[in-house]
Amino acid sequence: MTCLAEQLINETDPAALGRLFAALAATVADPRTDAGRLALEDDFVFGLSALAYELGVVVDTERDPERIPKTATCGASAASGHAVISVDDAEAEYVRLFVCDRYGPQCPPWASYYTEGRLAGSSALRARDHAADIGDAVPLEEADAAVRELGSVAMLLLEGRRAAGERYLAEHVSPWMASFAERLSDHAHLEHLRLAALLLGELFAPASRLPTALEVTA
Amino acid sequence: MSGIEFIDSHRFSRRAFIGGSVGAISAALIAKRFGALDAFAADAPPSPVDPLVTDGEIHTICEMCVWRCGVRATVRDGRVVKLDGNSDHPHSLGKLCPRGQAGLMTAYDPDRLKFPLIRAGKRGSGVWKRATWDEAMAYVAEQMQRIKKDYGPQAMVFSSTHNPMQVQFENLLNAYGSPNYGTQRSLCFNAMITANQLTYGVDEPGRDYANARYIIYAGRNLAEAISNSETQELVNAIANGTKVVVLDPRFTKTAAKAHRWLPVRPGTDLAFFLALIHELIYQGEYDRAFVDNHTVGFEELKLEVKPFTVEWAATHTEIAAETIRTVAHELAAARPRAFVHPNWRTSNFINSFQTERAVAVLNALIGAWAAPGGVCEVSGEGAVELGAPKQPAYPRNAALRLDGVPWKYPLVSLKLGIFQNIREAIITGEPYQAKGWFIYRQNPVLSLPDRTRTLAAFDKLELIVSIDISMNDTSWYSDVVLPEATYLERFDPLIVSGDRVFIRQPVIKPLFESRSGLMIFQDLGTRLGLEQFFQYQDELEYLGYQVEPLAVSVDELRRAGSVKVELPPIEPYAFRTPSGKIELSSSLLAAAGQAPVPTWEEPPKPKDGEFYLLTGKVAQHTQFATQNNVYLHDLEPGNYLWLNPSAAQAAGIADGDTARVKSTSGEVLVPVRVTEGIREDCVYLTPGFGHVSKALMTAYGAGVSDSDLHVTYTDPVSGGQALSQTFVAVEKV
Amino acid sequence: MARMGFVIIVSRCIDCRACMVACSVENGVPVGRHRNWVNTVGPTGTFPDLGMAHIPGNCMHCEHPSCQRVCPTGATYTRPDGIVMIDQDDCIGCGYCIIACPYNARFMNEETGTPDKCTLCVQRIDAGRQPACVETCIGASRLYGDFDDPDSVVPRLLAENASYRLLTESGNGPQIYYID
Repeated sequence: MTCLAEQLINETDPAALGRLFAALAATVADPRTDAGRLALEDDFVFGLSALAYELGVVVDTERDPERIPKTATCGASAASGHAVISVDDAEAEYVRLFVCDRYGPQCPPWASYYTEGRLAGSSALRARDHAADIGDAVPLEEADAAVRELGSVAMLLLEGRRAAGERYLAEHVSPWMASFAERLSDHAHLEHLRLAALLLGELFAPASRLPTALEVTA
Repeated sequence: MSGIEFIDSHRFSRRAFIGGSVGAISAALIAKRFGALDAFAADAPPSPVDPLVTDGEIHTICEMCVWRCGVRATVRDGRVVKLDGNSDHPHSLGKLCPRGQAGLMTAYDPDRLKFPLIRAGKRGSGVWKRATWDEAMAYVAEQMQRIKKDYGPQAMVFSSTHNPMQVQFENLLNAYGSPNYGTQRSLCFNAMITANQLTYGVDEPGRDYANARYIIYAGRNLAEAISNSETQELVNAIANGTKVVVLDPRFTKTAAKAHRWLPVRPGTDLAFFLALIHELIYQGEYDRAFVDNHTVGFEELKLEVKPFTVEWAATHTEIAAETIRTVAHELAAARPRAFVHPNWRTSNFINSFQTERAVAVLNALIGAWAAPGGVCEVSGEGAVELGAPKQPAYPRNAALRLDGVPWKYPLVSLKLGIFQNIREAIITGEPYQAKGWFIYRQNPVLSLPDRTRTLAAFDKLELIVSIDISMNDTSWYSDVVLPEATYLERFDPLIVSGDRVFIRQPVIKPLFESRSGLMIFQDLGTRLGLEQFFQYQDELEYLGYQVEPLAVSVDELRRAGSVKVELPPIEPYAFRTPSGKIELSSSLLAAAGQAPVPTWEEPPKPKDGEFYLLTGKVAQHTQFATQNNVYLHDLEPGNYLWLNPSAAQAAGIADGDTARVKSTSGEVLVPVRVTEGIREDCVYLTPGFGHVSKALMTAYGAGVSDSDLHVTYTDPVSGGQALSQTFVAVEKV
Repeated sequence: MARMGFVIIVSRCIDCRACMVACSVENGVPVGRHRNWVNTVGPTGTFPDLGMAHIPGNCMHCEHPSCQRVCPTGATYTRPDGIVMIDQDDCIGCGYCIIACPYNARFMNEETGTPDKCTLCVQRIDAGRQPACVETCIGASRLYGDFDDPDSVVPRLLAENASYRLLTESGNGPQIYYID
């Protein structure tokens, strides 16, 4: 059986799922980029939960130790009831998680790290080849970064290419995204990243091996 | 309230969001085909394509330790997939040690530095701001200019582990005008180099293993502190029947191959060698003709060593007098095809300087100099003249060096320095207060004894800049951290080894935004207004200057990996000493008010119940640099305290128990390995472990650091650091 | 016929384990698993009369391999030159061979789901190079070659030196000969 993400590709509107992946990619993007800034907007956390909810991806935010969404008492914007994230805070969080904390990134964002314990592993080779196939010259060590892989899934789905999206997901993303999500959940503080961690965990949790129904032969 | 209820409870328009921001991004994704990635990921600046950085086999030079072996890198799909020894290189002879073999993981270590960082919190808080190179370099240059203007260039300390970039590193500090130059050498071999300079006028004599019949080591552990080619030579020599004597309080893997392992009391190898000198002189077994022709000071030496009999030495070393006598005779019988190895620093005590002098003198007494199977002068780095860009003379600076060289330590050479003294001077502010520290390829927070003192020194500084390939313990406390490209990704100045000049060149492009030291210094130099000292636009241009005298182009050198050169002949008996001969009695030492001949200095001893804290090496790690390498960590994941069974029993400690080890500097908790292979009064801890960051994927929690325990003792003559003169208490936890 | 194997000169081994890193890197072995190894005996004795020996090892490329006997699919086979190999396509990952090997030379490779072991670096020797472990051995302890070729170093060493093999009572006919 496959994980939830792979099921959803077959069962839901690929464009909607594509937007979810685009939004998830935005959460792990560099805050200095357009998509990264998007994740800091007031409505983003709501919108992300809404997108997920619409697709049937349900997470229990009560269980999250940092209890997202934050309440209005913590410097929240009145309209959304959410804390406002400053660009400085977002950049600091991004650096701490994905660039360097004391010795290295707290939450390395590359597939090769989780699958092979290194940079530029075979995951990166495959990701670079995929990017090259669509005319995108990506340096090897950056090809398998979460932002690029989630973005690639988003792109395939937004173009309606279900089968290609499913293949890409199974080959590039599913092998590591649950581990990444867990790591992110261990270390992220800011709301949008904590929500992303919960959603990615839900989407990529290895499916149960038990059958959902038993065939009864007459 | 669950997320669903929360969503439902808000009159938030999902459609508005979907239609709005994410929709815009999504459309952009489709339009750009995720290509330019402006929306999602900051692009790395495009680098010019270098046709020689390509798939295939590329020759370069290893940097996993100081031996700098020639490497053949196999590159496939733009990745290094295998490193092999280059058979043309005298240091590798076609082989690589475990660290060299594991070197590719240096480039692919997920914790390696990737982008310039400027601290955004207190020092050591681990809060960083990712900066562009422009931002980071502008800040560093501005601060360095300010320090120069307000306090003088001497207020900037420059320190670096000695490495192939030394020529440009020294260029930077000389051009800037600071006299304060630190290297790690006083933590390693000041005693050896100073002693050999005073005796022979050379830094370090070469050793002829192929013809030696008898070799004595004191602490040098070639089987574990591997120097590739020399380790090969030792194993071959033993296989060919060469007899080896090892003085070491610990049963190292080298001791295990020796014909005699002599577990001397730490600090007393000096007594052993003085007794050997006595025995050779008073039994008439030294090489008279050689001594007459090539040495001065024999009579003084003879007088000095009169009391140093083998019986006397036995009381100090705790080796039987008969054994010492036998070794003396065996050495004499084998001469001149015999030598006492100079080692790096023998027992690591203050008296190690005298020990090195005794060793140097002993080699002269047996006539081993310039004899087959003995020791000799070998061509050093300076033997081959390489080209350089024309540049003006350096500015003069009359300020005293903070490390006391030479004004407090007249016998220590400027290029060695006394690194630990720089730290002390920063703390005391004497003779003046340093304000900045520029640290290149070095980790003083772990390498200097007594970590807390180094951090206290940092508190006095306004600027700390660190350039490295990983966020080491020092970078962690720095203000600015600049990512250098690893050795597999960069050019360095040319490297002379034997009669060949080798090139270190990138086998893959630098990952992320890392850069070579050559270009970091060029950029910084230019921003400091020192561009006339950095007249090259890229590494190839700099190397172009270097190759000029070699009658080969950079391109040819890159393809071949090296080029053969003519070395100037060495005059074996022209000694660059004041007398022009081998100085058994050194006039320079006498002039400095020191004992002119090797003499006894009683080493300190631990109190009852205390232990000598020994240091050493394992083959799988290089000091503090390799603990995060997955292959090397897998082979040697941590350190543990060696403890003799009698001592263990007395302390109630069993194998595998945790012990508390305490010195006057600090304490550590460490698992114990009970072993017969160590004296009862000694404990041993492999250095280099004890990195404490959780983010260090592999090295987190691995082992403890002996720099938490080491007490700083400096030899007043050579400035060498006496790392084993630290005594510790050990108790069960 | 050819009969490939190793001669290992134990006294030359310094336990640096360069052979282990070289093998893992060359053959893509998952970190933490090993196709080859160095076993250390000692320190033996009491201070200060001590001894220590380091004994490298790997798949013995046996003449009568237990692994091949128990393999249900024939995935484990011996090449004409005596090198014992695993055909990954035929292997069903049952793991019987791992249990059968008296030298513990095989391990389950989690990445492939099939057993893994020394292949005498066939990709290197077929290209005229030495196995990775042999090429890099600092002590020149590891040597390899063809026991049926009089010009090869391994039969010459056996002719000139006393040698021994491990667990010969297994009847496997291991092709690593140890010389002290």
